[in-house]
Amino acid sequence: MLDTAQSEFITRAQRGDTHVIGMLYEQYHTGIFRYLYYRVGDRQTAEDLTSEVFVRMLRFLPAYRPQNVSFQAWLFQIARNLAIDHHRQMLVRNPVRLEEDLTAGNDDPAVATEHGLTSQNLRKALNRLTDEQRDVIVMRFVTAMPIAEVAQTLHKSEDSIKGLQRRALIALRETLNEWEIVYD
Amino acid sequence: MTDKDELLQQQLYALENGAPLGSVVDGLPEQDQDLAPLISLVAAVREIPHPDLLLEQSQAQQQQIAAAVARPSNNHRNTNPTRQKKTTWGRWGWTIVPALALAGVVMLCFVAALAGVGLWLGGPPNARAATLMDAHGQIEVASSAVSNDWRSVTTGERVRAGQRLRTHDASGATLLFFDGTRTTVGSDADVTLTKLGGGWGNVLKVTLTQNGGITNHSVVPLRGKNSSFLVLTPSGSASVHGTTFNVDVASNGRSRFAVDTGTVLVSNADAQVSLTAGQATAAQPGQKPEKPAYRFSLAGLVTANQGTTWVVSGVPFTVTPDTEIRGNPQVSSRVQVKGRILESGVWVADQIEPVEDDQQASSFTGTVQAISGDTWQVDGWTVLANRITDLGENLSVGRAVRVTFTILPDGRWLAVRIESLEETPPEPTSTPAPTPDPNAKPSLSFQPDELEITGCGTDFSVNGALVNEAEEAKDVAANVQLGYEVIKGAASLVELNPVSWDVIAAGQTVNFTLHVTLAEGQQVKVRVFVLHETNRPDHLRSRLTVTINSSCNQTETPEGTETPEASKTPTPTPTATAVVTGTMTPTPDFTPTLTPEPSGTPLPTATGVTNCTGANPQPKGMSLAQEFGVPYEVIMGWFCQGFGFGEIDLAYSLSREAGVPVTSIFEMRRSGLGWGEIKQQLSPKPTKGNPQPTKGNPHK
Repeated sequence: MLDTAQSEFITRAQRGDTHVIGMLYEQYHTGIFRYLYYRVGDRQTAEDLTSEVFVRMLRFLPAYRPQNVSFQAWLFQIARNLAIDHHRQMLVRNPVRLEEDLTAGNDDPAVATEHGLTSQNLRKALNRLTDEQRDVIVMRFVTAMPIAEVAQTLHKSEDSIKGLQRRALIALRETLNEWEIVYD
Repeated sequence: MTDKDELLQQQLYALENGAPLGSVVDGLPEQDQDLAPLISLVAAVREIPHPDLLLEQSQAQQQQIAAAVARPSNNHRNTNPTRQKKTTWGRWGWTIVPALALAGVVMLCFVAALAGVGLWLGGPPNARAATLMDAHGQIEVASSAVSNDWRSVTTGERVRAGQRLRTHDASGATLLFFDGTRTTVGSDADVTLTKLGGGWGNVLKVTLTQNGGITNHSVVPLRGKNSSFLVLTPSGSASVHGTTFNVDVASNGRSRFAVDTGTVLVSNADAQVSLTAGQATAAQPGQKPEKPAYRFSLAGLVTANQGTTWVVSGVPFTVTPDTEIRGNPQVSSRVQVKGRILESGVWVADQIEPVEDDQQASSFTGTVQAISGDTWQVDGWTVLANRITDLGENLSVGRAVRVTFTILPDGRWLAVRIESLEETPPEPTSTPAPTPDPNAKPSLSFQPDELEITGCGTDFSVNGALVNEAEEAKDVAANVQLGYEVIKGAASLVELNPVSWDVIAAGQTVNFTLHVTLAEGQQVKVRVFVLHETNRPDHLRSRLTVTINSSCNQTETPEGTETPEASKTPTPTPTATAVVTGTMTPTPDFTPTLTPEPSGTPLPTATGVTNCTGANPQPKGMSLAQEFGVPYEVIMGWFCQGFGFGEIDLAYSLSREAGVPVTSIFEMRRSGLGWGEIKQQLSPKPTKGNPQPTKGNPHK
């Protein structure tokens, strides 16, 4: 029933039904915001980009085809593209500062945090991972996205995502162990 | 991909679907124990509080998006004018070497505080999931709104934000949130916990997306502006701050929102309506929610389904193209009907579904407009409330109530239960609520105790007065309520206004009006009595007997003629010109009256009452008289004719339940029928396949 309803939702959203669009925002904005927060590392920027994701959703919704990709994966593709664009812009504008922000400057959780796992030191630890590893960790375990949809979002096979998932967890664990952050 | 990758994914899948961490790790083969810390890490990442948009921010974003929908061609960039990048604060630290140590300490404290704030902002750990309670039948949960990875769940399991829950046929469960708020999910429902979080101090933030089925919500009053409880449906959303309500989404997306207590705001893109206790609305996708209306629920056999008019349990209602009819109910099918009572008084069905048992009762909601003895007017509908009626608390004129009713053989509606839908009692008045005072000895009497009015017409109003004759200030009467009985003739309407007083002080006189409607040329005799008084319930013997003659052959008197001592006699206010005869009787003793009833059997005379009982008054006789609101002498008359007090009690009870004159019941007993047979004969017996006529039009 939901699949039919979800399909109906999308059709109505494509027609500009503001109520349904509001529902889609309610349903997905938390996951999108969290993904962007861990991706860009800054709350204010994540808020702005979240808003932009949904504005772009409106713009591109008429072209969305449910048979190609799930709606959630499509939305996260928009978010990921925005995050990549944002990173490039920051790199062009202030490459030194961006590097400081993303690596050494924030990479001292042994000094800066307590020894429990928090969203702050998770974010810092994720900065040590590759973009794809970070995406997989956040999409899978912060936004609870199924493997299949992560695969759609990152344009990879499900098997690739499973391998990426294990490697990402190993890398994250090593970083947290290095910083003596306890999580179990 | 290696086998380890696949194995890790399988274990994580189990974890995501509610398997305890310990069992997942224990399930790892010996050679794959290196995966255990990775699984523990995933569990930890899932559990920590992740950042979230503040409610104001998400609302602002929604408004931006709504504005963007209205301006599709606009440039959407730079949507947030407040967007400012951070400054390069790091430069300063390296230029001031002596301050380095101090800055480090400050930074340490700051970050530690941030970590603490992060934990605090995450709210109580149990706020991020709802506990499944009372699960029965087949309940399943998927990991997200768009996933199909269903797994069965049972009572005690946790449902997290983002997860989707569905119930199958004859199944259901309750979601218990951390602050005590409950959402009961009925059968064939599909609900996603779109958002779930909370903060310290019982701040609850819930957004449910409901695509099908019915949900009932009991929301603990939300605290603070950041609290929210929102139910989204394809055709509208309901937002509340502490209330009980239910949402029913049909397969075509049409939603019905019904409120039991509190207030619910129902809105969609087109409009919004506010529902108060007892009201309901329906909304179609893409259309405005309909006007709020009181609602009804009927349960029973279909006795007619001709065209747009159906009859269930003797109550006719209208079926429209929007009515969702489940199954294929026919005449004599047992169904439950839910609908709304439109402003015009028409009962319109929203949903008809077959039911297997006959446990459900019929009910409707509305505002109490008048209470007159055992007759209640609720939003224009007349119901009988007698001794079998379960009257809830906080019932008074003006309050929203739910009336659960059954239909008597004579077509009258008998209230089985009347309950207030408003949680808080009305604002206190300047007079404090009276409390029982065993030392108070009020003395209530009607002055005069006999009135007669004759006039040309059918509607009559007569003023009466009730006096507390006590002299000491302490002897107040509390919670005084009047009752009445038609002891002769037939009246189509009898009303007392007002019918109750919280307090009648010593020496105080209160006035009331008796409205009677009768057929032209008829005579009606009504007896008014004190039905209830808290402080001295054993003294309620005073009666007012009002005789009303509808006769156009009388010599008309422009102004009512009153008896001597007219200053103490209430002025009658006839709607027709009338002759009034008031008789001042100083003692409250009852004047025996013969009251022939339709059966032709007179009520027993009180003559000789003292000759057949050893006590005067007889305590049980007094008790029955008060209980049924009939004169003591009448009760004793039956007793003196050979009926036991138990039989009298039973006869009056049956009379009220079945709406049959008590004389007829005693006649049946005299004819040799046993009480069981009498009861059986008085019970309504709908004939299968034979549509029951709708006696006593339930419509206004």
